[in-house]
Amino acid sequence: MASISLDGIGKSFGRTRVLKRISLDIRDGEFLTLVGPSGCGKSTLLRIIAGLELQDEGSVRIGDRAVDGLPPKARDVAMVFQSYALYPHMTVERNMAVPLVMRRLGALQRMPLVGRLAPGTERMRASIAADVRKVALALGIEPLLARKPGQLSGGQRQRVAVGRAMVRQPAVFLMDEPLSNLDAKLRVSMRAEIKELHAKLGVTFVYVTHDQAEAMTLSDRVDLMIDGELVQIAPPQVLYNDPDHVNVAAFVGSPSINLVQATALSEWLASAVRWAGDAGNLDGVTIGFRPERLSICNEGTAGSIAGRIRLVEHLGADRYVHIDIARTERPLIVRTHPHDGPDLAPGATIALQAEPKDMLVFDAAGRRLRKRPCDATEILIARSSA
Amino acid sequence: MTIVPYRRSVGHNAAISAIGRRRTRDRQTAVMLAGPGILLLFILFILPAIAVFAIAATDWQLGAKSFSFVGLRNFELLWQDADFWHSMINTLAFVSVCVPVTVGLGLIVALLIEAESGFRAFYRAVHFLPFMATMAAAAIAWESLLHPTIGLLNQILRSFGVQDTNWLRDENTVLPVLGAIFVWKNLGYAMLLFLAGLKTIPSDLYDAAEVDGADGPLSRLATVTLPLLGPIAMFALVVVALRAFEVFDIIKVLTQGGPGKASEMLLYTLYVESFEYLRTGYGAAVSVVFLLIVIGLTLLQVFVLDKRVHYQ
Amino acid sequence: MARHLLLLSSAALLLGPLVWMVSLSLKPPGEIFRASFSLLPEQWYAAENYMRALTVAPLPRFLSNGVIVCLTILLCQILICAPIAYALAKLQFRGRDAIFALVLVGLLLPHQVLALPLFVLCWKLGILDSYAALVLPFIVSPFGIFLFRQFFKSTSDDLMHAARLDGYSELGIVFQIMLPLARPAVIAFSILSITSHWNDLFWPLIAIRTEELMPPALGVITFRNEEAGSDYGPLMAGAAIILAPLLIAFLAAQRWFVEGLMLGSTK
Ligand SMILES: Nc1ncnc2c1ncn2[C@@H]1O[C@H](COP(=O)(O)OP(=O)(O)OP(=O)(O)O)[C@@H](O)[C@H]1O
Ligand SMILES: [Mg+2]
Repeated sequence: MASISLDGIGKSFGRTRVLKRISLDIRDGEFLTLVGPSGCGKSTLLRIIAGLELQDEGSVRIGDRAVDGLPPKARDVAMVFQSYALYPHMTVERNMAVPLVMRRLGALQRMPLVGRLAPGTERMRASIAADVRKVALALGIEPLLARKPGQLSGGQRQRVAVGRAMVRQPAVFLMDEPLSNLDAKLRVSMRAEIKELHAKLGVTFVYVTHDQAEAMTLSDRVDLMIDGELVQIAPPQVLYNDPDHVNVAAFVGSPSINLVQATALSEWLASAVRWAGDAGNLDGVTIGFRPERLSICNEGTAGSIAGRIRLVEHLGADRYVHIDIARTERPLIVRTHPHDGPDLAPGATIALQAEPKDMLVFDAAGRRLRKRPCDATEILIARSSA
Repeated sequence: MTIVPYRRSVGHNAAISAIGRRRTRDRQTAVMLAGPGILLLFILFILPAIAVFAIAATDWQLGAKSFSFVGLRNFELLWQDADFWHSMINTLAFVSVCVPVTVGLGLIVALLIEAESGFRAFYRAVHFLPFMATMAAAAIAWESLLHPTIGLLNQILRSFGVQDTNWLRDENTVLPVLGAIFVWKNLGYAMLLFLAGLKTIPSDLYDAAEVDGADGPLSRLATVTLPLLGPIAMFALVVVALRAFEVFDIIKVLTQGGPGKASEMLLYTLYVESFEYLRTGYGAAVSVVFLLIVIGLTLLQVFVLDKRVHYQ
Repeated sequence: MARHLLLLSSAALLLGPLVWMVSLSLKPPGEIFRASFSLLPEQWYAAENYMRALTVAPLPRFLSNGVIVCLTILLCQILICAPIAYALAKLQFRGRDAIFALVLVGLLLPHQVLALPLFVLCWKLGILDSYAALVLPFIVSPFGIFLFRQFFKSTSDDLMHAARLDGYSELGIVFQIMLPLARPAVIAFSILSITSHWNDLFWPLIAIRTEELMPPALGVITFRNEEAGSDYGPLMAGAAIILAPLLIAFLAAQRWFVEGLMLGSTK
């Protein structure tokens, strides 16, 4: 029904370039998530798709139409806002009816009192009320229809906002951090509901979030934006396992990836991994280890890095061990099962091991180095299997 | 050589012109929304303000077919006009006495009302009531109160053996009496400003003062309340002064500026010159003087006092 | 105790003139001119005085003029100020800051200064001595624009965006979303506008000659001049009738009045 295609979208506010020639194709029915640090332009991009903001260059297509000249209401998109943007002076029912009233009734029919007399108004109003009720039932907010938004909890408001977007059956749903005002528990359950909603409606969703758990669980593809540019667009698993950029690696994953300056590991790299001997190569290079890809072993194990336990956090199913190693400021975090490995107590000296294939290496500009200066992988594999 | 701008596709050209059309439409919407207001603002405020300055530079008499430009002549006349100076001095005297009295009494009443919790709403309403009175009608009530024979005031004084006074016809009493009426009307307004100010004083300041040994009501007043009300008091002085400069109704109803010119004040002079003597150019010159005073006070309020009022 | 004593006596002083007025309006002429005074009449004469006041002068007419003029002014002010305030608060267009500066200049001008050119304007338009002359100079209020702009600015852009997506026109947003949201400001502004025009004497004095068109403040002094000196009872009754509506409205809706008038002081 409606794919979205952005072609070279650029936008500046005054001197600041907020979006830098963004091109992006979103498939019909896809759930695409935009993530990125605050101020990177996610909301701006969403508003440009909705027609609420005018881009300086580039064009937007929704379905097979170029929509650049169309006002927001003609674009067949609905939007759910972080603040929900419910009309505080209207009841939930009227809030949800507004998009239908504005579309189905003529200017005359919408007028108070006089409108009632216009032909067909009654029938039209009844059908709108029925549609609203149907959506309200589906979302479980039917008992709230007579209330004003001020009398609702955060979660209920969120549902009403979704309901108002749903009633008009748009081809595209745009959601700008719709869950970020909810408490953690509610956020998890609403997340599941949004996923179901997408499955049920089958229309295109563009979803902006700060929360990487939302991004990872909901999306068909995640699009990481930094400073007005797309850094990587990929399915969540790819983003996690095979990031193109250090920022992607840092953004995805919790606890977040351990990033270590390669210079701090130069000896280990030289001995255990057999990094190319020239230490100059390591300048600015960053190496990332996912917490679950590090393992703890006894001190002195061959090919390991010596460290000292700073802190052990028990999270029930998991255990996070913070380990200081030489020449790094922050401890590395290792994720282990509670019963794995030796006894771990703060202050104990232990050692860390890592598989070279699990190392994510980034150059000074943050770009991923897939081909390392010296391909040490094989060497290490040979060693550990020996 | 011409430089051909880089365009990626025909679609981009279309997009750019489509966006241009929407920008035009948005601009038209803004004009449609703001246009009537801007137009009327011009016709009813900006142009008349300019016109006042222009008329002040002419010898125009209302209704006359012709007039000539006389430059600053009207202002020279004003400068030499004893009547104008009389009016000006009356106004300044009126303002400089009535304003502090109004604000001072307003402060006292506000402090008394806030001192304890009993009957607060009642006292507030009663003291504010005169401010809501239509002054033209209230002036008639005052007139009967001040009436030389049947007036309440003289009746009371008579019972103390004091001679009758014709309050509004005696040039020694007329200004003080008008001043009293002004205070009567505006005291509640000043009070309300202070009541609002008192609400903004955080109660932990009183606790702090108590710990520091200021525990009597008077020492609390001296250490906490009054210093913190300082900005509000400045604000109230300016706002009440603006009202005092604009005194008109009571003069028009009660004294017509008399006896003689004993109670003539700036705005009344403006009215009489412009609309009764029809000395339009001269009246406009008075308007300009009045305008400058009011603007001076308002700017004082906005730029000097507002910051101080809001910092707390 | 001292507090009550002081406040009651100041309250008595403030209410004195009004009480005296009512007292006189209840008395027959004989008692009014008697040297000794009492608050209540010996012979109740209220009905006669009030009837006399109502028949001698068109007092109800003055009051209804006041209502018509004040409401028309208010309606025009809201219809004109809200859209421009919205444009200044929420839309981007060239010259916006200049226009806002213009509004601030308008805010600075005392209306009495503009009376002369406005009188000439009304004269040229041939609307002197009509309702139109009473209304026209006030149909746009710089303070209204300023106030509504502040309020509209404080509403979230999301709400405006949601309304646009839902299909509201810009005018629809102004009157169906923004104004209802700014209800406290609208009420406060209405009270400020109505009281100031109800009480205004300066402009009606200049613009109106015909008695039938006079608003309350001007009407009551015309009444006084006709009744001069002699008939104190009906005169006081007339003044009381003119004073009553606003005072009663104030006592009935104190909180709103206080808010509205306090807002006016920041002008
Ligand atoms: N109307 C505007 N005028 C000027 N600058 C703006 C405007 N809207 C956004 N910006 C700027 O554009 C940049 C991107 O804003 P945007 O709201 O798109 O960020 P975001 O990625 O949604 O951030 P967040 O995650 O905090 O919501 C920010 O630097 C912001 O300050
Ligand atoms: Mg955002």
